Amino acid sequence: MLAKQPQLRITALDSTESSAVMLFHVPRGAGAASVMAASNGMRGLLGGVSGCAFVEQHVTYSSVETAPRDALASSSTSDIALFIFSCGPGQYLSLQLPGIRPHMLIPDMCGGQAIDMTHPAILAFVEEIISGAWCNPFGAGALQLEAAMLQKGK
Amino acid sequence: MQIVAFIQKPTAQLTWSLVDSSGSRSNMSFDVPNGTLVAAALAAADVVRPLILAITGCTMVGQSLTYSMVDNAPPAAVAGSRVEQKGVLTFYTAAGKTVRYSIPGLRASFLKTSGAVNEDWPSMQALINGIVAADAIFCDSNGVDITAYKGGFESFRASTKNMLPTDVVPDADVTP
Repeated sequence: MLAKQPQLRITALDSTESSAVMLFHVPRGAGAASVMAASNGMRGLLGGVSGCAFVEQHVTYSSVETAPRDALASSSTSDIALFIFSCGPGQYLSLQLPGIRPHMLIPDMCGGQAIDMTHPAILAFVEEIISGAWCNPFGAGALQLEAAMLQKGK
Repeated sequence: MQIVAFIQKPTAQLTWSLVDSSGSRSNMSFDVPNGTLVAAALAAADVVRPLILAITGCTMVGQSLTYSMVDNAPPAAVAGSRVEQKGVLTFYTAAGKTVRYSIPGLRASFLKTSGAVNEDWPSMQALINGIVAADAIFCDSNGVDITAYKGGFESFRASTKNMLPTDVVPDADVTP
């Protein structure tokens, strides 16, 4: 993966609630906290000259794959592997992985297809997700896999 | 005085772009706690990426990690402000190239009658200095420092359909 220049985006709303985004670039290696602090300062300066309200800020670190492998023949983004993890009482994490390989699917009891949960690649993926680094959108860490199924997208 | 509260979202989001054999694209997103340092999050991405590629037949073409903050009590915009009315500020970089920033809703008081930006105003000076200062974090898209101000002017962008006013009805006095 080749890292691109990190970007800071600040979103503005005008009196009609139309939005616009200002784009800045920051140095590689700049931490998110320092960029956010700089953005807080910039919003104050922008507020002094603009009539818009500045309502969001995002710092993004992007990379592109310079030597992507070829997609496997017959792979389809509509073949989605859905993994559901529990993250504590009443909290869940749902991950959708498009293009699951056919040989990771097995017949289920209803005449359809299910994910082969004994496949080493599936086991390795699940183990990584519950390793502590990953969480649901509310910050609750994934604890254990509750369900995995094939989902056919549009 | 309005109280503005920018709060960090509870997580940072890692997103991968995937392409299948037909060229169709799809994204998948994972979350990490917002306190995760960039280096640690990218390291975790390096670990999970091959695990994903072992499961999917798609190819992975891009990755992004985004930290976000939102204002949970946004102030009202100044009456009459429009994002289509922009102030374009141009700067020189240390490499002699130029970079532009478009400020939406620039107040008319910061413009000369010609449409050029009036840098006599302290607020405008503070903004310009905030970008070119030696300790300012901002740079161009190649990572080169921004070193000097070149100039600024008013510019207008086209309104999208959603930006148009909703009360567009002819006056009854207008002859049909």
